[in-house]
Amino acid sequence: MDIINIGIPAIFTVNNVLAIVLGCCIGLWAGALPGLSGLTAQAMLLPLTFSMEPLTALILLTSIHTAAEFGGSISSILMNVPGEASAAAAAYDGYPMARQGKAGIALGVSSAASLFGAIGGAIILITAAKPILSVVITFGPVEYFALGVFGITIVSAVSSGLMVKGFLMILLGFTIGFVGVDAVIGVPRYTFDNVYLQAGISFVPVVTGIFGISELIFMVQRGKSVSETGKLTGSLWDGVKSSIRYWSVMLKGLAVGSILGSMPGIGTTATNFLAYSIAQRTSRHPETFGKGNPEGVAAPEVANNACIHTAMIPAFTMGIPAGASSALLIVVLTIHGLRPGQMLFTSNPVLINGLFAALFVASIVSFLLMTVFIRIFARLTILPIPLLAPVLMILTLVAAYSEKQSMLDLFIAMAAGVIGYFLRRAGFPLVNLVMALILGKLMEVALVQARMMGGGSYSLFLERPGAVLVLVACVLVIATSILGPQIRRLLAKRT
Amino acid sequence: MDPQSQTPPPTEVRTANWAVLRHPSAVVAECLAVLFALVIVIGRQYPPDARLFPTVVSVLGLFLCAVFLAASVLNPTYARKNIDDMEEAAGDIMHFWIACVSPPLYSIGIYVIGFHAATFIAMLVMPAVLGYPGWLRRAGIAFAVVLALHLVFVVAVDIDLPSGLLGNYVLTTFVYDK
Repeated sequence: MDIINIGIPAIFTVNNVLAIVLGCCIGLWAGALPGLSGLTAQAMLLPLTFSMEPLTALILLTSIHTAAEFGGSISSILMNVPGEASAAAAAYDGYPMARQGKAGIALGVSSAASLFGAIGGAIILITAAKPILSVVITFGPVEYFALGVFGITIVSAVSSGLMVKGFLMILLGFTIGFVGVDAVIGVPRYTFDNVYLQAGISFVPVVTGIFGISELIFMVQRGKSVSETGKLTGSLWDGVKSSIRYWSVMLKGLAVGSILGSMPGIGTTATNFLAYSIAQRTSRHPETFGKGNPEGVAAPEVANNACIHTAMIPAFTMGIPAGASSALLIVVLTIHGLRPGQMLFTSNPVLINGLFAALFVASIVSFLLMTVFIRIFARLTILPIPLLAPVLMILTLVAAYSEKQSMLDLFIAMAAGVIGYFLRRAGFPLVNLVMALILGKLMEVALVQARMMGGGSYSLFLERPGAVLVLVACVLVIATSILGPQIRRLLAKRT
Repeated sequence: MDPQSQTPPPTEVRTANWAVLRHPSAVVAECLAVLFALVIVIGRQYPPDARLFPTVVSVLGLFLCAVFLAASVLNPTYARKNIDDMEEAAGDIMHFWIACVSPPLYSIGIYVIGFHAATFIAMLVMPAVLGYPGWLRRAGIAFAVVLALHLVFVVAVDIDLPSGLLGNYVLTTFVYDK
């Protein structure tokens, strides 16, 4: 009720409305373009917020982030190059849909799912912050490691093709992450005394190379246009209407995004992939995922949009940022003389309720902006490949370069692209590699910390009930994946 | 019938199919096995805590590579499932090499002549190589792409795109030294 009585009147001032509209416009384009991101746009505009009212500053930054998550799936779906790393999973089914001429429908499903996730995440932020937080603060290294194992297990169990190939890609992803300074002791590993490698192999050039350059090679070989039929069928609104059918998948995505979003360190990218994998695993037709199933677009988009709102739970209640974006919000609070914690909620009702109300409005404005721009974006899929391929190459390499502005990142991206091409040709699933790259460092640090807490032994993994449950679930998932088809065959023979 | 004259029923002998080891997925597994072995060998120089996770991962990786290769060689059904996983690529070898060579050439171009010039040339040449007609239209599109990227990345977001060796020389000689 405070949101309606206090929050809504607070945001409908000229400055706050401008902040929402401007933030959404900037965020949408920043998210859509590979090489930029919502975080980049937030960081660029952060100094401007120092002279603003605290509520206006928070509204501007959160609007950018909300809209960027909407826009991140655009290039994922149209060109198989994620605009935001957290939208990468949308490419697995969104891009096949674009190739079938259904780019408009895919973008419509993505927009509707993003709106559902953003509003759902905001509702959970407002109503369930305390219960979620009471569970999250009990999580330690043991639970984080177990969650990492759960994540890679689910991804491997549902990956297309032979499970061994999926596990090998996980291990390759971990191996790439070993390059650089060890996160626990600080020893340089596998750097060969190279200054560049001491910073580690960055995630962004690897992902943009794997997705963008490998797709460039396939695209140039294929020719014609992204849309195999050379035309667009279905519209944005067909996609929005059809998304209502996927309400159960979207609810699962909302649950995954909300819970994982409130856990520091997990991040939207891992949440995105996990939501996709869970949707595939629990689907009645998992074999259709990766071939243009709209559920494969809906689930990860709901999750990453819910994640960015529930990430504010630990940030505003405990001052612990769940990710880089929520860290910027804490900076804004600090600059304006405010401190995260219980006092923030009790002594600043206008600020908090205004921000919560702005989350809903920004989500709706982002959706409306998507409906305006999607018509233009969807037409990219019927452009001839000789024109689109060089643009894809340029955008991919600019994306790889822009993170650290290092020429070596270009070569990392190209190498990742060529390797990704051959891995795809040989039937090795790349989603596993990306997932392991994200989770590898987190899991290694958690494993070593758990060993230290256990006095040099791993007994803590058997003593913490949450971790035991999760690890048992992992074993069951693997067992059902291996034995399930055998049992089904036996039963079919008997009948 | 004399039992001794009866020939024993032919037993099914599963012969190993070593040719599978030249299959693309087997080659990938062999390369991964070499990589994991190198990780273990190189990791021996690091302190125990630093090499723990890499060693565990690499040992597991070697085991899985061995399982995968052995199963492919000994079990024809497994080898067939492996082939079904593969993603087909249409088109000819020339287009493959165009796509592989273009990014490194473009990157070298960025290093030597700078982002803007390299991008303009890439947008002019690559569509022509891929068969897009009309040099005037290509030039117009190239100019528009370079302008759009400059406005977005350099002007709006203030990302320093490389000027290249040539650009740095021009700036140093004619701009900064004035």
